[in-house]
Amino acid sequence: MKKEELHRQLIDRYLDGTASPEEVEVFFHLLNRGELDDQLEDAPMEEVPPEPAPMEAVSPEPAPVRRIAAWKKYSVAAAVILLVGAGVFFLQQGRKAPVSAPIANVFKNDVAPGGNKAMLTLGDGRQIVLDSAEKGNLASQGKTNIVKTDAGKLAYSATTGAPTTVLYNTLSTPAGGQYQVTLADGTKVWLNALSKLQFPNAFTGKDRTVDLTGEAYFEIAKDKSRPFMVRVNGMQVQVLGTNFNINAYTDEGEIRTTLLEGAVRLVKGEISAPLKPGQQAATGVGGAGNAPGIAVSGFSIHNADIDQVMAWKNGFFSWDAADVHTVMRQISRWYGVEIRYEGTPTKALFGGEIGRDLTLTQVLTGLGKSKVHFQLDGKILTVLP
Amino acid sequence: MTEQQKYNEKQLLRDLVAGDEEAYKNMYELYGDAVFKMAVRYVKSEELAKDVSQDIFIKIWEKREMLAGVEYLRAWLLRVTRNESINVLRAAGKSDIAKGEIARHFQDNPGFFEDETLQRDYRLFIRRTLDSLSPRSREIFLLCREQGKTYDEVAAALGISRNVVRKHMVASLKKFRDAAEDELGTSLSLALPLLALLQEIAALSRHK
Repeated sequence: MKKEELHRQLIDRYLDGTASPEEVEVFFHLLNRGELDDQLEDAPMEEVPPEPAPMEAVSPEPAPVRRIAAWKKYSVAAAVILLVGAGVFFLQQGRKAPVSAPIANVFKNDVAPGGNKAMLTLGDGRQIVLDSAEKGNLASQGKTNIVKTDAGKLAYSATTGAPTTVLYNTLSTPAGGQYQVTLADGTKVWLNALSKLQFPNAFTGKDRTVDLTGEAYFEIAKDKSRPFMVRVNGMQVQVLGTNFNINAYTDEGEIRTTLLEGAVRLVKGEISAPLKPGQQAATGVGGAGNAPGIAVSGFSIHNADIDQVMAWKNGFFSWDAADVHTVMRQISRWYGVEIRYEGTPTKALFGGEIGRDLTLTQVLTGLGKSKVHFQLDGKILTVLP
Repeated sequence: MTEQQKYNEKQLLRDLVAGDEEAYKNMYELYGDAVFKMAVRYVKSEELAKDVSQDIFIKIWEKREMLAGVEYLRAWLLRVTRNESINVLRAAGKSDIAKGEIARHFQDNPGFFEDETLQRDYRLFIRRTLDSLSPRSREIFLLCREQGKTYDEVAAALGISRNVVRKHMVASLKKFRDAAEDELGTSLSLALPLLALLQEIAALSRHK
């Protein structure tokens, strides 16, 4: 059923007083996003001569049963999201889920989860905001076309002939943003929030090189004649044809490269180290930002929990015995909130998976429980013991 | 309407613009109730509706020159009331307390947990997706989400490592998410706001 039709039903049921509590919640949500304005205005109220009839806005008769059923699909979808995201499961017939114990959280507002948001800066300096761009051809650079293929996806395709001009483009994501780009050679890159990828619109020359800040997952297109190289914060990842994830947020204190398939060689100054699938190499970022125990020169290699590393790309937060600072840094990047600590930060460890498409208060309620409490005011999140 | 009534409304309008207090009292007596009822239809709360109505009549008195262009007073009054009520709703939507006050009027309506059809659709979807999991994944999923056991408890009960439990859960959750998107399509994006409410009655996540 079309969205407009459902909105109309929702408005009618609200005005009639027959909406369920969940629907009323949706009504207010949509109202404040301005999605109901047109239909609210449409409720016929022409200037008519006075009538003795009641003044209700002329609205359609209560919807027949089959139309109501379609609307209710949303309630089911919501319950499924809750199941997948926050770990709730209602199986028994007629059983209301147990009411959660009162938590001393104070939420003055909520924050929406991140989504497909990014900015593309072309070689000539032009900037395109990708979130709102229409699908289709965005621009041409030299002999390359830049196409928005779908929500959250960008593709570079060479037009006929050898590329003449090589221009560098930058794809950058804000806090709460993520985006996927297919480079001119077919390599696919998924960018996490607060990240930046600098790359040429076409790969000429003996190798393929890109620059990364933040976090990205790469699926490199095979090309034996041209090795692929990712430069990140004083380090290089040399690849032939492989899939790997690089986490290089400077506030993490280390750069973590995790290999899923294929082979890579990490190079830093004079030191180089090969990686095998399933392994992760960590190296310091240098300066004061180092994680304790991490060598600045050289790499520390160990087996990785691939699921945890790739959780972001699959739409989850995934933690295993993570301290509160680690958890909060990720929350901060995805929801764009500033983290403050009151009192001694808890030493409790966090574990589990929570969907990344939940709103901030939903995630915090899932996290909090007995371990920690939160206060949210605008974009400032305070963590309390 | 009769010629007499039409004349009366036109006369009323003229008198109002001129600042005639008697006319103002008449307007309030004639249309006050209709205005109030219109406001209630939108804001639900009678107290709120009274505020909205009074604000409107006060504003009309203070800015009575804007009546000059009005042709049908009653219809105009009702439209103004509707617009003002919608503005109040927008403001209320931003405050949990105000929103709660309005939502109170709906709390006896059947919601998700009272609706047999919804419950059945939900259980059917869950059952279908569960069936698509491997026996081991399904077993682990039910232990975690239905019985509320932690990963460690499940690992101990099944004699496997915690990591293996986690791997199964992550894979199962992904399957649920994909199946939900396929089946429920765009309803997911509209359904997200429903969670704000469902969340309040959700059980605690017990995965440590």
